[in-house]
Amino acid sequence: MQNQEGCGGGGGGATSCEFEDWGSFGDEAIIQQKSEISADEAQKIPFVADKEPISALAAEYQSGSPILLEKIKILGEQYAAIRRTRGDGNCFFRSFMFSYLEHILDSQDQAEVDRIKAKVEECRKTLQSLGYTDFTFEDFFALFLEQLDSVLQGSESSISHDELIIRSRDQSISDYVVMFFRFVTAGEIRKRSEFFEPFVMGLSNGTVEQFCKSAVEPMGEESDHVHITALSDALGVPIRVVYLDRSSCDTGGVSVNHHDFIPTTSDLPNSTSGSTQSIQPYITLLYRPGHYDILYPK
Amino acid sequence: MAQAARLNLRMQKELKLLLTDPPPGASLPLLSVDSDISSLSTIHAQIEGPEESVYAKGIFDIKIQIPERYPFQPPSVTFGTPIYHPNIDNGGRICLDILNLPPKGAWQPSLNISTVLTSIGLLLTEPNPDDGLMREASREYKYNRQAFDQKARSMTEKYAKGGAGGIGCSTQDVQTNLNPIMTEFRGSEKSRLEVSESISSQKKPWGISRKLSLESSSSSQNKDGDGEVSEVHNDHLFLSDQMEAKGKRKGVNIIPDECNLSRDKLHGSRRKLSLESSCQIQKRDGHDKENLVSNHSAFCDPQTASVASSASSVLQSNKCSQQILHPPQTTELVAGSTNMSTKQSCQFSEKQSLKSLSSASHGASSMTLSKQQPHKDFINNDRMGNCSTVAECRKISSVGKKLSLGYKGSTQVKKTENKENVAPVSRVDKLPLSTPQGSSTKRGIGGILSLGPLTQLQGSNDNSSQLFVHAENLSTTSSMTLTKEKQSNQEQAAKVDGKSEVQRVEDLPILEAVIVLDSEDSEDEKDGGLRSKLLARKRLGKWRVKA
Repeated sequence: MQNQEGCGGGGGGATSCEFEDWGSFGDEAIIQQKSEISADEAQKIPFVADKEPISALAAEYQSGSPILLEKIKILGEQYAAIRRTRGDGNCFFRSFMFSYLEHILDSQDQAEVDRIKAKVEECRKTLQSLGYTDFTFEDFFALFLEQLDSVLQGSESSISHDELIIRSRDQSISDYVVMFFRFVTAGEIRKRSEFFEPFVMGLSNGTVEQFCKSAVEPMGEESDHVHITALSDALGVPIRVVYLDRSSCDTGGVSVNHHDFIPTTSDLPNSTSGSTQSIQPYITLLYRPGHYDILYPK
Repeated sequence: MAQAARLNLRMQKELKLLLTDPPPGASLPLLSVDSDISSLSTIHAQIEGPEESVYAKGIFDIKIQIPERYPFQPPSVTFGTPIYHPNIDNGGRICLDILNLPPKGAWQPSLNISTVLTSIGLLLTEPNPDDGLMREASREYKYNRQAFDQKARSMTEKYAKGGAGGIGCSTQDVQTNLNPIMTEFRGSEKSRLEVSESISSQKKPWGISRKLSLESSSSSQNKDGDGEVSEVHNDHLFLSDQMEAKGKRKGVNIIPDECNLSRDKLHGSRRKLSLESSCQIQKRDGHDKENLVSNHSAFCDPQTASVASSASSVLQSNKCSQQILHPPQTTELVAGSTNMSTKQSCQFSEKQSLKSLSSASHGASSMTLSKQQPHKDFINNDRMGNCSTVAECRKISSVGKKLSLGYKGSTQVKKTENKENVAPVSRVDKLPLSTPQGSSTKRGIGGILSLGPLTQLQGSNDNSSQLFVHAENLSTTSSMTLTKEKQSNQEQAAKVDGKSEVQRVEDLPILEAVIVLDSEDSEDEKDGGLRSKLLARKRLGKWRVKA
């Protein structure tokens, strides 16, 4: 008895708090924190922000690396403006969406719309052949085609540039279009899995199919070279990505490097097959490690 | 609202497909093609248990809730029908990756309700015990497949074949709760199920007791027929019971809050129980005779096993569990005639029951009262030794204290507890679990108990019960096996000599080691648990030699 009473005073209280803290730190807490972060991000920046001059970018890095400032300066010589997108993991697709639709809105390029519609149909068939259930993707396809028609002027459903921005900021539209691109990308990667396999292996341990399921189709999964290549190829849309990072040339001179994703398919508009040099991408994205924004050339 | 319209459109397509081309085994009984889908946020589906699975021929209700942002967010899917499955918990929640968003889960907008139902069907065919939501079920599935299959089948039989309705009044239910548990001792196949239920009843006392009440009549019918088979079953049964006890403790560890809550609830149910006690005693009288009979038959077995010594670990553990089982049984027996002794067993009910066991079922043995006394002391000492071991660990100690406090304080509760102890699983387990109940004035202990230290406490409890087993072993077999007798003589002599203090000191490190071993191993697997028991034996053996 004595023993029991005696040792009873020892432990208990002190350890309990410690354990309670651990107990409450579970998956739920992590998920909650993540959603708080994304809510924070949402307050800071809409899905697609307003156009800003490149100088705004410089201001952001005022006290940053001199290489970056130098690069931004060079960037400012070639590009007029930047349009930020929200860093929610969908920034590449969202940037692409807005940039492409804006391009159509500005250019009113009926031929391009027809071309891409044909591509979209191809993608639809690809998904069907891959075993996707129709209704799981057709809503997303329909919504993208709807936006495509809207940006072409001269019909009842035509929209203005402002309306395009509004729609791009409307989650119920914006996310659907992003998801459309994700479907297209996943379809392309799986259709040409032999081609993409080595790249996918470099990014994940799984198969191409697993990669698509875990890193392409789910919303909020960030995009990599593989995604951009696949989307560009699937839709036949060239994309230029300008890299703004702290890398510098061996020679010591600073230059802003970029990479053009030129669709591999032959049926490009105004392209003589084989000479990829002639293609000038009309979608330019600014890549800073982990994020894509839209760039506007001068 | 474009989103809502689109969701509606999507759902129409989905449901149309589900109705015209449902995934194998699934159906939407409450829907027809012309149902007004726009008003549906919850879909009721049914899944047939896959052929050749343990759920075969069962029909499971499934509730599917469609979130506003579907298909960007996964549907929320739960089982409405109770099911025994490693990945489906008592609340029907399903642990399936595609039902959660990445990165935790694997939901993607390209999935749909049909694929979800297909996946659930697959999950029924092939549970994933490595990612188990239900610890004991997972463990069983992996290491005691037979027991798992049995439980799953009887759960399916009971709940998934229609007519599982009928909500009774709760006080009635609690009373009937006892009967099936008592029939467990007869080792009927049903009892496995009951065991699982007594586990879950810690979470949802009312719901489970309702189920039990449905079953009680059938299981008591079963008992007679199963009498002959009982010995065979016993082995399986109690083996698995032990595992469950461990699994359950783990569960407690994981969801401390829930358990604390449910303990409070249990508290209530026990009160009711004690109110009902008079009826129960009457009922028990009938059972007790049978108990006695089966006691003996069951008892011979383990003893021979013990003579055969530790030839096989399985046998060993069987013996352990059977002997663990016995004390409460005889307590029952004694309680029938001399209720007082049960009531007075404030502090160490197990010890009391041990004593009563030896007096009741081994009255013919060479045990005398004077021998019993040191014997009991030994146990007490051990318990205290345990406690001071605990003091070294600094965590269990307070719990140990509370334990004793609680027992002193509430005889009423204690009494009911003893009855509940009838179930072998709960016996080992009730102790830690009921601690906060006893010391309800010290609510805080619940938290401490259920968090970290719990494992250790349980480890020690387990241990002490093993010690009891050993002690019992020694006493009961004293007149039968020469070596055993020798050992027990040594022990008792040591005690009489008053060297018990010294022994206790020696005992401490051993006990501690065993505790650690036990809690570690139970993490692992069933084998580990057995091993640790063996180890405990070995160590005790060493200690005896030393003594």
